[in-house]
Parts: sequence; C-alpha cells; structure tokens
Amino acid sequence: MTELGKIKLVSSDSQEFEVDREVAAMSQTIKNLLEAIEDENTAIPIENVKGEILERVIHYCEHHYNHPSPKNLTENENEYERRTDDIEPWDQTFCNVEQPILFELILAANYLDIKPLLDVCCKTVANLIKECRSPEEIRKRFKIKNDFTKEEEEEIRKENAWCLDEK
Amino acid sequence: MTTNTIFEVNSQDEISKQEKTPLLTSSDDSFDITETDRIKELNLNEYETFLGKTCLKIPLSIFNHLLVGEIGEIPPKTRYHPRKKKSKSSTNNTNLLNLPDQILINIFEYLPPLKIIILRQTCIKCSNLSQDRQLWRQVCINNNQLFIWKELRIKIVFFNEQNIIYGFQNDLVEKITGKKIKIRKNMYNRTFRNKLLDTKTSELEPLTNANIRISYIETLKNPEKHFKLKYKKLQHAKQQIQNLAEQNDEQDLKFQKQSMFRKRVIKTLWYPVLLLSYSYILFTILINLTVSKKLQNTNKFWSGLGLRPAIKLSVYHSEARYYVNFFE
Repeated sequence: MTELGKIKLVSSDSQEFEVDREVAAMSQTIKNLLEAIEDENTAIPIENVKGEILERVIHYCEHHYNHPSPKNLTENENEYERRTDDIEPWDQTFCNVEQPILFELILAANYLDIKPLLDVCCKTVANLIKECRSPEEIRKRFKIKNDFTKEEEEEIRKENAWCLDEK
Repeated sequence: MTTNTIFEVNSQDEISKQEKTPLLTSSDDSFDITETDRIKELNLNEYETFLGKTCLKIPLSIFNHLLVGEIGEIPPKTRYHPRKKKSKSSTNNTNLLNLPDQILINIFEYLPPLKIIILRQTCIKCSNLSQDRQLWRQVCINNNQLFIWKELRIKIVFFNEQNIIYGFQNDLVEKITGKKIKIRKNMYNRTFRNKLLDTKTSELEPLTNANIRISYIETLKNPEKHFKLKYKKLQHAKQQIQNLAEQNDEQDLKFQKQSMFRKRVIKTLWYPVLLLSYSYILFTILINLTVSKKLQNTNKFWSGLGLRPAIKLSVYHSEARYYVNFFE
C-alpha cells in the first residue's frame, strides 16, 4: 500500500520509488499515465530508465516542485532564443555528473517528457561542446570515432576553413 | 504607386544547351569578369562595419542545402554516407552520438555557429546533422545575425527579422550605386507582394519558355543604364557557360544525376540572377517567389528545361517556403 497522494514508480531494474503524485506529474508521460490508470495503488513501471537515473530524475523533480523557478516572466521576452548561460546554480550542480549519466538523464527526460530537465541537460552538453576548440578536442572529450575517410576529412576541412580563419 | 521595369534575358537557347551538360563543376572562375567590368564588391569587414552587425559565415554545402534542399532532406551530394558498423553495442547508450537525432539537433541549437562548424568536422553523423535547416534557422534566431555567403564573390544575405531588410536594402543599394533611392516600406508586406504577383501574371508568361525575367520595382532613378551594365556581364557569363558546355559535350550522359541537376538549377537560374543581384537581393527573392508561384500551376516551365516536374517542383516549393519562413 502506498501513502495517500503518493504513487509508486518502478525502474527497469525493479527498484521501487515512492513519489508524491504531483511531483511525478511533472513528467508529462507519467501524468498521462496517471490519468489513464484508475487504481491509485498500481506501481508504474518506467521501463526505459534505470534505478540510478530514475532516482536522480525524482530528485530533480522534487527540488523543482519545492522551488519553482521565478523567471517565467522574463522568459517570455525571448521565447525563441536559445541560451546556455542561464542555468540555475542548483541545476548546474545537478548536471555536473559523468557524461554517461548525463546522457542517460537526457534519454530519461526525453522518455518521461520533462522539458525543463531535458533543456538543462542539453544546455550542459552544449556548454561542454562549447569549451572545445578543435574537432580533435571534441572527439577526445566525447569519445567520438572519426569515421571520415582521409579525402572526406580533407574536403570538409577545406570547406569549413574559411569560416574559421577570421575569428 | 510603383511602376515596374522589366529586364529580360533571352536565354532560352543557351539554357537548352546547358541542360544537357555538366555545368561548371569546378569552374566558377569562368565567371571572372574583366577588371573594368568587375562587380563592385565590399569586403567582409567593410561590409560588417557598414551593417553594424557581424555576419555569419557558413560553409558552401550547408548553404546550398539551405537554398535548394527539401526540409529535413540532405542532398545526396553533400551528405556523407555512414560506414556500416559490424560490431554493435546496442546496450551502450553512454556515447553522445547514441542520443536520438532530434535531441542532438536540440543540443546543437544551443551552440554558436562556429562551434557547429567545428563539430561537423568530427564525424559523419555530426556532419550530416549539421545541415539541418531547422538548426540553422535557430542559429540565426539565437545570434540575431545575417547569413552571408561569400565564396563566389557574390554575397547573398538572409535575414531573420523582417524589418532589417528594409533599412538594409535602401542603404546597400545606395552605397553600391551611389544613388539615392526610395523603397516602399511595405515591399515585403504580403498583400503588396501578392498584388505584385497577381498583376504581372501576363508578363510572367515567358517564364514558361525558360526565360529569365527580372521584374524590378522602380526604385533607382536610372535603372536602364544600370541594367545595361549588368546585362553585359550576364551575357559574358552566359557565353562562358556555353563554351564550357560545348567542351564537355561528350561527358553528358554521366551527369544526368540529381546532384548535377541541383547544380544546374543553381547555375542556370540562380547564378545569372545572383550575378545581377548582388546589389539587388530584392530581385532574387522576387524571382523566386515569382517562379515558385508560377510553378504551382504549370509544368511547362520544367519541361522547357527538359527536367522532370516533380523534382523541380519540390525544389522550388521548398525554396519558396524557405523565404516565407524567413521573411514573414
């Protein structure tokens, strides 16, 4: 039995988490599910998300449920502009994790449809990319394999060179 | 009211020759115009100072795609084909590139343009993703910048804000021509444009014969003189194309491919227009809108070029949509 106003989430590796109904409803996916399910005591399986990650996601949701961000007004001004320098301090600490975890957070946020979390993670990744100055640095940092042939690489380097030289 | 001056290039013969031929694969130099005839050009720095804005430079392949590609489709010419992987680590989601494309693009949209250009040199997937139209649109919005492309000495400028073009158009034409001009504020007003397109339907007829017709809303005091000069250059360029076309006659059959077709469209239709239109960005847009509007109704234009209508239609359709996206 779950407490009143709480629901149970089950991760892919069968860990169980009890969460406030309203906190869990920050995820659009869960919210939709909750509307469909009548029995309040049913545990909701989150099949694509591991326990470790789900725990973090819940942590995030709880924090933001308790500390709603006040900047909704200013956001409307530049609705379409994408910036990366407006991450809140708490979120920065939250996203300061190993890359694999960060990517899994992104996948989880995508699956669970939690837009603020997805945004903040994407911004963090974008910031990581921003810090790199050359293709090699990026490859090294994200362990990307260079799959161009030599000719292709030369071609694309030439093509892009003029964009880079003057700055 | 505005009056319209029509400048017509009778290029039917030339185009019908060109269409069979691989055009200008590596010979943009053939457009070189003699020193005295040179198109007046501002260098980038001057240009930026003049605009009071930084220009955004993007690689040719992306630019071409933005110009003629379908939304969401990357032209085969500029796409790198991923190698087939034998060992799949499907359980391993921990690499950046294993994220779904949409999320990756979402991430890229936060990046400044230079970083995207660096990023696209890292691997095939990034390179292909970096050509996403939506991505560049977002980049444009983020940076409040202009798209500028300066590889063929002719610069084309895209704007993300409707109102910039008014001021800019005036000033630039003034600077280049040294003439005081007046452009109607509502040039890009939808009603105005539609009206323009509607009233000129009869004059658009030559389009079906693959003629290039440039409608010019009279803003310059002496447009004829100006055009004569441009016309010479255009003829010169056309002559060059023709010579080249004859030289390469034998290789014709090899080049009946889509990528070549795209090039051909640019070269036969776009390039001459562009050549004329460095100072008349306005024209380029007008032409496109006119052409695309025409195309919604008729296939003659395409058959006139000896090309299959379906492909062409989509090309121009998306072009029109592209402009609409940016200007409205």
